[in-house]
Amino acid sequence: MLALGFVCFGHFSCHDKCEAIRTYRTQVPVTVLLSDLPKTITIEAAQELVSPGKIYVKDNFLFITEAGKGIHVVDNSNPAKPTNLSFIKVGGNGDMAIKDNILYIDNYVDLVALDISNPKSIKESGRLSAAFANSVVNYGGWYYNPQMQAIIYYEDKIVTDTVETNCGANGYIGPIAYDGVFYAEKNAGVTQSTGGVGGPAAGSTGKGGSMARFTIYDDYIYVASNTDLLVYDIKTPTQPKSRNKVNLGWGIETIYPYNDKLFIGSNTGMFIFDNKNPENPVRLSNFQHARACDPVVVNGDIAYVTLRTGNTCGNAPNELQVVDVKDLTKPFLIKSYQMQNPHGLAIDFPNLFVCEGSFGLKSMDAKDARNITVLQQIGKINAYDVIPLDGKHLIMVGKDGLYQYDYSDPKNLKQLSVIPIKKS
Amino acid sequence: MKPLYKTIVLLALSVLSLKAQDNEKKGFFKKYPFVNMTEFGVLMGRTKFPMGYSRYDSWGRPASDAITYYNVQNRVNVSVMTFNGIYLNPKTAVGVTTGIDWYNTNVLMPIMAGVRRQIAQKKEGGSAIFVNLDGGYATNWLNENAGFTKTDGGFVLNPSIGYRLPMRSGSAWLVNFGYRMQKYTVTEDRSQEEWSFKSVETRNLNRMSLRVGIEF
Repeated sequence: MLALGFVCFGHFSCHDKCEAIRTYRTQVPVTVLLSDLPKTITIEAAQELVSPGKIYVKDNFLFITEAGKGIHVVDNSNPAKPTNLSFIKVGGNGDMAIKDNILYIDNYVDLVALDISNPKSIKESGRLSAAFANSVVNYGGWYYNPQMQAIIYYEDKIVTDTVETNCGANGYIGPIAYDGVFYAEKNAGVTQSTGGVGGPAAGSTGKGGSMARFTIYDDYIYVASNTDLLVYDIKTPTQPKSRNKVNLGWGIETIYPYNDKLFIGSNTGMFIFDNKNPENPVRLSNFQHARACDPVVVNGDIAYVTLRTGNTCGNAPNELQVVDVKDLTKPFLIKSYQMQNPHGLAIDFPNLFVCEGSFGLKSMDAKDARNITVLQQIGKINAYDVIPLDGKHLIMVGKDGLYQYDYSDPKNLKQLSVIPIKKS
Repeated sequence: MKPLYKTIVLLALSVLSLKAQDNEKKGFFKKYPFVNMTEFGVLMGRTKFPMGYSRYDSWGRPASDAITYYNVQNRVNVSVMTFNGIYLNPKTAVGVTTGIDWYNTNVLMPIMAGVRRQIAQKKEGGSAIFVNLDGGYATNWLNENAGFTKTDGGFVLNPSIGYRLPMRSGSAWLVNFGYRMQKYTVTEDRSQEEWSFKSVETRNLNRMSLRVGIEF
């Protein structure tokens, strides 16, 4: 009888109870109402670089974005000894462009014009509200939800939670999903800007890298959002006005103006737009390639496109593609070159510079499109995007900091200076 | 190799104690007769764990008002144990119980203090009902870890009740029903990886134990 009692007791109560306390890094969504967004732009004392993103050069000044946080202003009158002047604190910032004395930036959903006539005393001079629907930071940042009148972004966090598990059954590991979260690529904050080679802008624009999403042509500022090409009129520099929106499908990454054409890199191909009427760019062609991350630069009849394998980009091979764009309606591939992990690139014909991510910077000779050769590879540094200036001065940004080189001899780049990132 | 070494030492001690019984029938073991009870059996139970949710929010996480779907699985694991001790008096034996428990992903080796106490007997020298209590710590000496995991043993308690059916040879058959509580911990440490994942899983097993064996 006693034994039977035990059996019954056992039958109903003999449950294995297992709990796992998990600690892991994840991205948690944060919702902020538009009305609560920090829209004040403040100028702070110079700060060390932490996660440098895009670079933009205007006269003797360098502007380096700190992904999502703001922009470093650097006095580069002496490239061998750049001085960090100040930090413009801008929430949700991803990219920038300059025309004359106005620096255009994104501040979450707003397009903001800053007066930089005196780089030591920068102030806000205009603002276009609700210009953007999502962050111009590649595959990261935030997006705008019009119903909620809020923006939503992901924040990297170490979380601890407790879950019930199945007590270690063979072959099945509990309900341990990583919460189905979306992981941005590690360098999500870094966007590239190569800009304005020879745009007939009335006035003076600066120069960005090949990974730029902002560019200025004539009296218009072009912004490549994830899905659209947005056109803003800046005839009155302090009052940008929205003029046009051209849908390009998903995965737009970079914009590169060349003469009166716009070359747009998306992760499925390269779009070529005729920009004769700047307010209404017309699509001429779309050069398709495998799914990949790809900035593009152009010289003459040749476009140089890098394809890179990345979790968010696709599985295309790492390649440099050289494309004939003599007939802009019918671009065709001349040759592809095997690369390691190409990011931004720049052309100062015949010098071609390609950033190979953690494999460093390559200086190449592109005189013959069918026979591009590597002249020098600077390894041991992380290279993200690069801007060549006045035929000999190279500015390169990567995860380790901002490097400047003298490339008078493209076989032997001379390092002028480094602004390192903050040691953590 | 260390766990194996420990196991061999324990087994050797058991054998030596048997040997001691032969050699020293007089003296201590005359007053307190040696007893070995070796039992084979199963530990039966079930586990209920969440499999999914009726609704997820737009982030792919369970919605706050979601219903949890559970899965229930039965678990049966093999367990052997051996009790080596002495009879303090004809009704009470005390000793050390060791054994091996094969759980689904782990093997534990309990080392417990044990008491056997007769509570009823049909007639002098005949079959009897015993209550048994074993409690102690289950070691991880025989466990093999998968990558990134580490298993730590834990508290184990096993009260049971059973029959002792004497044989003519002086030995006896044993049949026991009981309840087995086992705690142990499995730690998975992948904090060096990108997601910096670490989990500390506490396993509380509550099982019905069913064993048959021989008293020697």
